[in-house]
Amino acid sequence: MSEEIKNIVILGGGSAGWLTAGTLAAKHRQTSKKPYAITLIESPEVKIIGVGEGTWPTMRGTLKTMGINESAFIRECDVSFKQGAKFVKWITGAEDDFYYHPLELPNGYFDTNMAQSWCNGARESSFSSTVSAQEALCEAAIAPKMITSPEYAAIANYAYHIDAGKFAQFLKRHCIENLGVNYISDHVTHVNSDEKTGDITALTTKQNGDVEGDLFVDCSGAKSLLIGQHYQVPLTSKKDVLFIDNAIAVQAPYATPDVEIPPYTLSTAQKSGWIWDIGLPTRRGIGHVFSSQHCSVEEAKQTLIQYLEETGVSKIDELRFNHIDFNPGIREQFWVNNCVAVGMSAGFLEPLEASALVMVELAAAAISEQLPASKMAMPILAKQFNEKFHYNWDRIVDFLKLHYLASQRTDSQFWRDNQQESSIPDSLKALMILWQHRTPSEFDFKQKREVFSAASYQYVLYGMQQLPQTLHSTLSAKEKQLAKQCMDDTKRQTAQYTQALPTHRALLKTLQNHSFQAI
Amino acid sequence: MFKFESLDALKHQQLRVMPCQLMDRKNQVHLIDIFPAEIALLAQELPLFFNKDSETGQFNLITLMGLTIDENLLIENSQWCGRYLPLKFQAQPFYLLPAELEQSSPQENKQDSTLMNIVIDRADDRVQELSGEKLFNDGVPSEYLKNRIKILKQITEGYTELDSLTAFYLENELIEPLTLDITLNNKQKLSITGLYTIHRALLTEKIEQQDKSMPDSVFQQTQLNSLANQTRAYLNMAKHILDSQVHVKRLIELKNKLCEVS
Repeated sequence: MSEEIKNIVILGGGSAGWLTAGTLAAKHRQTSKKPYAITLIESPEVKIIGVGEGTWPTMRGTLKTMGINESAFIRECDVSFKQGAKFVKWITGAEDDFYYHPLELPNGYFDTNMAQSWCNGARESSFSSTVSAQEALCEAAIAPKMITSPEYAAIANYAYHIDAGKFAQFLKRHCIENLGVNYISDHVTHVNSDEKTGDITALTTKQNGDVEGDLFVDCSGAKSLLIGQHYQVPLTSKKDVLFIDNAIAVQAPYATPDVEIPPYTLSTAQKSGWIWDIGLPTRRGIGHVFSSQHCSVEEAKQTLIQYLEETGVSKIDELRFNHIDFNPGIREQFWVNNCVAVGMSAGFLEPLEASALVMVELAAAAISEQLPASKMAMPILAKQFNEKFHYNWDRIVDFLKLHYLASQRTDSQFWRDNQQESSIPDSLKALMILWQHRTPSEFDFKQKREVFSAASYQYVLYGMQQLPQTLHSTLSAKEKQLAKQCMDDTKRQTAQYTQALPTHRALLKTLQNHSFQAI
Repeated sequence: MFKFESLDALKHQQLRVMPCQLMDRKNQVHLIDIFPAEIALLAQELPLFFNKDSETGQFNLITLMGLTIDENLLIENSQWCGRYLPLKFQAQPFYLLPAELEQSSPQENKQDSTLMNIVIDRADDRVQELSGEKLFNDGVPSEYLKNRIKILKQITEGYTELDSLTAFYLENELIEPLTLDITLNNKQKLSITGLYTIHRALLTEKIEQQDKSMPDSVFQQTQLNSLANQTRAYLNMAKHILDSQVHVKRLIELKNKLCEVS
């Protein structure tokens, strides 16, 4: 048997499967002799879940690499622009309590310490609005760019809100038609493996016989057919840290067709969880995620209905409510033998910071960039991959937990339990102590490409008014001057952008008939 | 600013229009749309660039006439002092508007001319009853008016030709953004952004490719399909656009002179 990696087989055709297929295929898009063939098997019997309608700015690079036209993607996947997340009632639960986690890095982030300047300063406005224009753009429902901006280029950093179902269909067409991905619509009935090595040799399908491969990517979702079921890799539950394990989702029309579309994900804290609210061009996607230990499904549904009523949704009894329960958890290993899990088969956590798709992008990019030519070298890559992605998942757990830990809410058991020592990872505990006496810094994290940068921690901590108890002033006169200048820049940018940029809805409307240029 | 009226032989029988070399207030603009057929002529005296339509994001071809907004350095004592007057100026004070949209802006004449209505801008200073060209002679359109209508038609066709031209340049990745940073004699600094030009190295490469594929016999040359001719013509235009940049110097000189006077 040849050890060369020639055939990659992807099992599952949701966003994870097609993003992985597209990323791998695009890597050799311009090469005449392709080093490997890519086949995706999708079961016609399995409905895709389509986790998450929220993405990260990384998605722009991912789509661009795949050779996708941004304007076509926006039109066909019912896309709106996302400039960050607005957290409502997370701080104290008061009606007017909110803060932003914008996608822009603070102005001057790499040149001075804006966080220290803000903490030690007069704090006349929120941290996020002191260091970036994005909060103002979000509040005014303004787009992050203009029709004259080149495709994928931002004036204010942005990601997308997407219709996950349409997105998978769009990627599928692009992968098959433009990237040469082989497609098999069939149900896998059996996994064949080599007795000696344990490697998977082929997947047996109902109608297409055995599909052989050298590397198998498990994108089969929560079922985790290959990593979970075949290799029996257990899922490490994170329920002891992140209590949320249920979701009720619904799609609702806008009250009027020309109402402004929020260019951010809205997350409103509730008694035993939180509600996401995402505005697409034609509808809203809303869902209540909650902890089943703290709240019954019926009670959660009532909470959601009340939210819908309060936010102007009528004819609620005509809406279809979709209940999903999930086990927040992470596989003990992601890469075993010649099989790697990407997407929900690798792990799933509450969608508080839209981390599901970005983890898919990171995994797909890692496989694409690092795949060796021979199976001989695969164990080495597997080890690297497992270490790296455990680290990534752990950082996500920490960052999500931070949102609960930094909250001052004690009005229900859910919020009180979230403060329990035993529910806090040691890594986060240590950082929380450190950040009582210093601002979060890039030095607090070890990877070159962190999932969440120190800036994200700053936005959440200071958005939630968790200021350091003691803080040295370590900035030189020059750095202080620079910080002041950056704050002035933010003010100027805020005035300039809010005046010059179109509204979010206006840009989406223009994009129905016109397109961004490539340059 | 504009006051449009559909042409009417009866209503407009006394109207006269002063020659278009005489400029109106609204010609105080720093750039104007131009069309492929004008490139060779205009490139001899003014800098040509692309810019993006703020409503659609599509590329337009423009000639630069000033260095700040609403400055036209080619106007001297209300007269156009260039050799060639761009079609869009030549057509004034006539415009093509969608039949039902007479009150809207003159930008609308990119659309199908069959659905268009010819209108005259009564707010234009050059429209009066004393001197200039008559629109109608005994109810019949004058030669002058017929010529204006011809120009309007050229503009409509020009936009279609421009679409093919920019599509060709974009496909071949020949367009690149450019910023003009200018320091005047009085030390004032100007920066003009939002302009695009032709990528010099890629154009050279493209022209070389084209030359290599030149057929070697006269017989074959006659076989050259229209596509290859088209490509050649587009590459020539690209060369003109690129070379026209030298005329930015002319604008700077005009501007310096203006600053000295004031």
